[in-house]
Amino acid sequence: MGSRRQVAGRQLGELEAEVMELAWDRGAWLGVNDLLAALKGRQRAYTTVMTIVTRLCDKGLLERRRDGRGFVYRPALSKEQVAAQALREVLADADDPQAVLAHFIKDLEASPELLARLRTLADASDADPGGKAAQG
Amino acid sequence: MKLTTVALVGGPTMLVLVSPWVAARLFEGRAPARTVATFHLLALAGMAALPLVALPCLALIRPSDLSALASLSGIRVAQTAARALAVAYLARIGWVAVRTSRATSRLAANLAVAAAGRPAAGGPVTHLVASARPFAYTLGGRAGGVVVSHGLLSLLDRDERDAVLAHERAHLRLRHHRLLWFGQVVSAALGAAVPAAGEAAASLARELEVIADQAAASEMGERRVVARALAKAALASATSTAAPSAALAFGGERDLVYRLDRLMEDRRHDDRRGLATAAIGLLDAGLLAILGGAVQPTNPVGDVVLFGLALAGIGWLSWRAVAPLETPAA
Repeated sequence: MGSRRQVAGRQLGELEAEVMELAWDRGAWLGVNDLLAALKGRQRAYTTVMTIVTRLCDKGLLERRRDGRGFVYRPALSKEQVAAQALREVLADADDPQAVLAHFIKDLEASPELLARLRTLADASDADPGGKAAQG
Repeated sequence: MKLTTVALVGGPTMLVLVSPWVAARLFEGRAPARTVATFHLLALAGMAALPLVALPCLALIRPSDLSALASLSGIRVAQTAARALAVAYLARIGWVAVRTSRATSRLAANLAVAAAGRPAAGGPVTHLVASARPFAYTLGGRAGGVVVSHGLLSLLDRDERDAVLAHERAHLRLRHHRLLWFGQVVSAALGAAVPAAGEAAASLARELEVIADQAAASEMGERRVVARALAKAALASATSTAAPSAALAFGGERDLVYRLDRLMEDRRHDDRRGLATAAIGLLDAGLLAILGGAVQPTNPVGDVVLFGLALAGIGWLSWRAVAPLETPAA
């Protein structure tokens, strides 16, 4: 297998990524034969594409339903949903000390004295008067 | 096991086990940050190796009033048990290490999708996360980079943003993520059994923040801008606690005060350099004893080679910690 690509926060093989792009492009239910016809580059074997879509279903990226004697497939999530999901996970992970080792600043419970010191520091050289008293 | 061996291993072991408190009492904040960080690092290495030597040693110490035969078979059983425990401990370290690395790569993968990462001018990739929550952090590893939220950037002016980025880039450049990872794996693997490990890992993390703060200050040519960025970020993430119960430790407050003090103090933080250096020397002796003890019960050639490598590593680290800083390039 050639290079791998990032799709939906997962490492996908080149052909997997290509199939996903295609499925997002069309948006409709697609059979393996539709995919075979639409895939660019050299001709792929039916079984190869079959394997790929099955794997993508297992990864939760494609969903399938029975259509006649075979299955048809479409994306389980829109591209935007995938990005939103990734963002949610990023935000959740930002608090995970296992994932993030060094924070610029950690969540803080500050004493009144420290808060006062922080305000003094923050205002120290904001030259424009009357502005910026934003923090409460 | 002879009394001398017990003393040789036991004495330094005690030092390793109280090292975070020794540092806090004697030279934290009064010796160069790099020296203090190395002290914690060496102590963590000692703690990591400790179970490997403590177990065989415990197995070898036996009441002398046992008959020769009974003690001999007793020793065999104890040695086998100790070896099994050592293997279990190594497996646990491996498992914790894998878990921690996985969490980081999962986060990196999600970032690649969710955040528009782009290489900053001549620097590492900077991911911008669309979130109102103010945060910034460094992610190590191959897919690593600097991660900043809109929320934090919107609080800061241009110079302060540069200061935050300089701070995070310093972490990356100095490979702090590897040291932090090490500290976290050791403290997680030892857990509550060795309270000093968690303490040492936290102290190491705090000291590395100080180093990054200082690097940012020297890059910006001004420390006030770093302090301002810190203060603004802290104010935004502070949950102001109304109840001023005197004994309550404010979460994160001690670390932040320490960083601000280090950042704003005038250059006089070399006055305990000698003491810190001596402490590192003692710790080195302790580490050697621990490693020697770990090698001693089995001692095939491989162990001796490993011991030599560890020796070289310890020596190099210690020398770096106590040698005067070279002027940073550019």
